[in-house]
Amino acid sequence: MKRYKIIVAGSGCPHTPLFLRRIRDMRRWEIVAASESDDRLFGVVQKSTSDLPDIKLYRDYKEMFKRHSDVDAVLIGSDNIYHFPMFLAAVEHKFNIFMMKVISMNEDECREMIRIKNSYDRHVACELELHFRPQLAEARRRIVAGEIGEIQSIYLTNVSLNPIDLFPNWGDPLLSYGSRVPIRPNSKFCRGGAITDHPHPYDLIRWITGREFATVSAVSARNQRQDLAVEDHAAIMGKLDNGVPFFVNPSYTNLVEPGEQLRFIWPKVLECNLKVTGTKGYISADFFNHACTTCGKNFDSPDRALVEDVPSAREEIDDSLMGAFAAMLDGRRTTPETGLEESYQAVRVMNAAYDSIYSGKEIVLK
Amino acid sequence: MPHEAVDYKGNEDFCVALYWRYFPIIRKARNYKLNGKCGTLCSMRFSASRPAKNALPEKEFLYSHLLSILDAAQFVAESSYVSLTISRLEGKNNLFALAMFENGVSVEIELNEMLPDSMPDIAFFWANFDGGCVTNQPLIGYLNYEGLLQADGNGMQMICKDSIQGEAAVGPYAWMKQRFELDVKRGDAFAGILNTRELAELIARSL
Repeated sequence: MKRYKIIVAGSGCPHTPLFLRRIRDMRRWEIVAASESDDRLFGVVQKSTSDLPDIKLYRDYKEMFKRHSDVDAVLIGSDNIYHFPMFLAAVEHKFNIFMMKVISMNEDECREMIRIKNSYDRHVACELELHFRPQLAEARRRIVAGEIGEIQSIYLTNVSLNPIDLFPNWGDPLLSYGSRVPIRPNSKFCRGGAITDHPHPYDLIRWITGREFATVSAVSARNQRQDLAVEDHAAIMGKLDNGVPFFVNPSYTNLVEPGEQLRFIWPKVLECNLKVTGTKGYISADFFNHACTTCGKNFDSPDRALVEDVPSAREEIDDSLMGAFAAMLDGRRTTPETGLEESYQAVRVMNAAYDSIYSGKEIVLK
Repeated sequence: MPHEAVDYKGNEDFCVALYWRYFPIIRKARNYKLNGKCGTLCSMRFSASRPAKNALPEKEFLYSHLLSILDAAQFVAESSYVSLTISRLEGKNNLFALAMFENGVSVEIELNEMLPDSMPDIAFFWANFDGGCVTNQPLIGYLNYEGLLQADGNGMQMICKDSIQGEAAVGPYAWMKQRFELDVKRGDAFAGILNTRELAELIARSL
């Protein structure tokens, strides 16, 4: 299969380093160049690409775009605030575009990107996780097949540790949310934290149910981490457009000890519990396909019990977001697994949650 | 019961059966809140699920069970409620609720009495503090749903789905077999007799 040349614009999204490792393993992509304007992040990019001797590194993505205008695709992996201008520049250069979460928390920018994409003759795909977790995909398959009857309620947590400990830029509301908006009137905490970081639950609910969100109510507790600039907790609920109640918790409530050495307090990186009640049955699935507990001085979080996943079965290349994107470039797939529309719909729910927290009222999505 | 206490107009002494406040995990969390061992309380989450055979009449569901949960949360938070929002499946014992206390602590409630009859009662509680957490929800196992669980009136299955393309396996033994067959198909299985004969002889000698 053809190997495509890809450049990486920005590395501020916490998932970008993970994607860079994954796409190297996939052998469908050759990373030709990368850009990063932030000094600290540029050092991280240098270190993480030190095994790619031919890679070109830039401080300015525009210069990189000009010098590598013949590549097949660009991965936009920057902080959210730069996604829109990078998208526009990528379109000028006629790149196929893969954009990391979150496309933008500014809904005007989201709609403009969709408008441009609709007449763009290249492929655009976006990162929304969870479609390729086998247990979640199987849960969806069984639900869509009617094995539990009509959905009556849906509960989904996406509770993680605080990524800002590892990626400080992610805690800057300007970089993540795009502007400084207090989470509540007169609050020192701004939008741009846990809700902004976790668009996946809303996409997963839409993907499983085939429905849209109709009403949203949300609360945000006092921050566990008073030194953050953004919220670290939220709980969101409401109704889908068919009256089915939903609940989402996208918080950062899994504590980690402060300090340079990563040491978990809560020994599980992520809680991603899906629970769907139907008229004929019940399905639940967890992000950890089958967990084990590890402990030892040589592990991450030394000498602390830690829940980890067991080795997974090797997936087919197409069964991943970047694999599906490569399949689009091959011509074997016409639509992305997740694209701008799915991302925008998630952003609408996230902003509705923020509005509900701010106003104390239920928000009706039109 | 709470729903009866609300309407009681008599003069006799009574205790209200606010069961959740007697749940030991609630006592544990309250103790930690009082002694500050986990720092300052920030949020709480209740997951209360029951099979439909244990479902309560509507008035009890709302004004005893939900009320008891709200009481337990207040027992831990020691603050006044400033808001409560409920999202309920119309006419059913299935709701989510969000509440806030004056002191900035939040409460999240999942209250679902529509589980299949093959499932047990579930009562999980989380209290998140700025210096720790207290929960009775297991890290893994016991319906913490690692992997995939499916239940209906006939029974409950723990399902292993290892890859997007492969089949689902029910239970660990079927999963082992599936992994073996997958590796054989991919040419990744360990080839040859390995030490099978020696092990068989070891077993035979030991019997």
